[in-house]
Amino acid sequence: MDSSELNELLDQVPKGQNDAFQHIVRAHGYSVRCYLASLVYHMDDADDLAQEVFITAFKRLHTFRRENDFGAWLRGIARNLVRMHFRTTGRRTRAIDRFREEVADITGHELDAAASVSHNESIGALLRCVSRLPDRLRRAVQGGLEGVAPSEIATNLKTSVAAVYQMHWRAHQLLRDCLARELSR
Amino acid sequence: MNTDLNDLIAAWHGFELDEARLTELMARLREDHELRAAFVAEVSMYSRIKVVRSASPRWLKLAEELGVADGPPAGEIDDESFAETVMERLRRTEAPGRPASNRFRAARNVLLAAAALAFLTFMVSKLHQPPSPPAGVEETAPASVLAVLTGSRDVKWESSPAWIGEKGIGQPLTAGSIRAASGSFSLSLVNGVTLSAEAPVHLEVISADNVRCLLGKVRVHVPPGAEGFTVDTPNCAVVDRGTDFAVNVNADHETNVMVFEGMADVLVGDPANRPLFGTSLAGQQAVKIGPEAGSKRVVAAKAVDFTSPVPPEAVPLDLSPEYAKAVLASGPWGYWRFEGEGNHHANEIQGGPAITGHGNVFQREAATANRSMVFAGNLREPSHLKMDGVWPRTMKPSYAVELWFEAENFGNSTLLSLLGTDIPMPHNRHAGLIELRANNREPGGMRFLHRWPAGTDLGVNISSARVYLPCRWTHLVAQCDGERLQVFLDGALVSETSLPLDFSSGPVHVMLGRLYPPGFQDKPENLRLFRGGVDEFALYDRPLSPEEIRAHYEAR
Repeated sequence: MDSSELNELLDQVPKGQNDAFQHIVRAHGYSVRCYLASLVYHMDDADDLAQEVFITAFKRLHTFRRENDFGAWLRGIARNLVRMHFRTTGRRTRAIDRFREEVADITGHELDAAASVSHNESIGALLRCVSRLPDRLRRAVQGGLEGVAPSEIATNLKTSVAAVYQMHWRAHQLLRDCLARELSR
Repeated sequence: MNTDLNDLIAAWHGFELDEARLTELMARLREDHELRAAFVAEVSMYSRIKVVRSASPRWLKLAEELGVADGPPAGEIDDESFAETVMERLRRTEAPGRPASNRFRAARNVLLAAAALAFLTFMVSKLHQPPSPPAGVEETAPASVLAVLTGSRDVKWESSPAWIGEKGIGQPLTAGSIRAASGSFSLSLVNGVTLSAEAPVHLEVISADNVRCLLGKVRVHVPPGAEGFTVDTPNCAVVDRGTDFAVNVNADHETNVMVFEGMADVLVGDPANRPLFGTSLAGQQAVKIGPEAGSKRVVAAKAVDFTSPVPPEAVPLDLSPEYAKAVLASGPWGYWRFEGEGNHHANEIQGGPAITGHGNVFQREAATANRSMVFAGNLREPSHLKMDGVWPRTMKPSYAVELWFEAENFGNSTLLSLLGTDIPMPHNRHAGLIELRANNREPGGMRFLHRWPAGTDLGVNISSARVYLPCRWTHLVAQCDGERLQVFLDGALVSETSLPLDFSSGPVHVMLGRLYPPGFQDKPENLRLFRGGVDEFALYDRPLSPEEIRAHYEAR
């Protein structure tokens, strides 16, 4: 969504055209969810927070300065909500959440920069690239995504744990280049 | 991946580390910019993957705030989310012993960290590529060539900038537009995909794995190794997962998709091509995508509404009589010209063994009366040629194979199998192979293998990409001089590699056109049948000099 499209939509929302805001949600939903997932880890939490981001944005749309980057503005709202999320009583007592909160604090600037390049166009590219992985590499990657232990993956693929590591590194290279080619078109 | 990054990622995924180690890692993360960048790259990309594989959220609270209805536009039938599509794609591979549940478990090991790194797009490395041709040798099918016209029926062409040169069978195409007002035609893409189209048609060839259909009917076959091939239409993208499928686009931009075999994903986008949702189709399933954004309807499959494949056209080989003289002057051990009648083809070298045709293999005659062999086999009736007896060969690997070939499509197929004689046939122990390759990594490629002793793995390979075009006769010499393997095409060296010092050779069975001999118990789809023409097959007990090879080619 370029700035002229966004401005047109932003003009319509104050006139009561709330479905215009839906277009904004559709355009930015993926990148906001990705950003939040990199901060809070669990998708349920990320999706709950993403909804709050857009509700907040809708209510405070009049405060957005049009010369600024809208995605960055949304991520600013997201960061505030994440800080409040980590400060809820239950989360402060869990070591893993304290760890993730501290990591988010340290890497916030870099995560924000990385999120600014998460585009809807990469979804289809990622889908195509994963489907083109050689079969054994795809199975190793799938196992890793689902949290399967490396020893179990090695057993399933009738290979060694060391070979599974090597397969992941090979998959890394193939996917990196594939994505770069897909997104450069 | 260094230990600190490894542990950071593991901890981020929930693996428990002791307090002292966590403190140390936090300090490093603050101080080390490179570590921070690597960590962020992995975490952000892993999160992108996680979002894609998750179900689309239903934000009822937001919908209520906006005062709009939640859910997809009216007229939709329930379908899979993107995330389910992605994970279904991953799950399609067999994984015995893997838990049936798709419940995501918190990762506690280095492997998950390595898996997350798989999706980094910010590290620098290159894909392994097949060796480039030696300096001074041009690629037959340079990177600009994406496809070749292999079949044509009464086609009335319109302006088509994708053509390289004249339009005709065997002519290559580059990225660009192809339009026809009437008729039908077939293309063979360098990665092995075959595409047939029925006019009126307007295609845009984007790359070897992406074609845009703006109007017309197309039918696509995607072989293994080329999965992910995509046909874009004005309102959706059909992404192959290893299948035969067809797409019709009419003048109103309504798209019909049918999968005949295998699977395909249909990704529907809005007019700005932002993805809305996806659905998966299996064999004999069809879907209609309306011109309005997000309109999709499952329809009854009617194969007759979609176009049929257009078969490739055969190309005869015209050769001057001087060619045979040049070959004989080089003293081959065996030379078969396939000029006689019947299925038993005599050796031009007196006393040498004949070659026998099996299955759907027959002769074709050119205008100059030269006859060549046509391999027209399929999985039900494979075809091959087999030499009677054994090619003895010397212990020192020093030999050459020479022939002319014409492939009807880019594809994975076996031109020549050399099989060991140490155990009775049939078996799968190769001492040599010449194969044509076509997939996303080896478009229009060739592989020459030398292996001794005969077996099922190891050996020395040379591979070349983009070295041949279908529907064109190509002169091939593959040879070994004891120190190097070499492949010459059309008289020029295209690839070579060194042999280890201790490599040897020995007697072999000789077979043309299939990987394994009849009777060997393997899956039919592993036969890698060659389809096309072969002629002027010669075997030598010594390598040919580059001058001889050039002279043979020029004597054609």
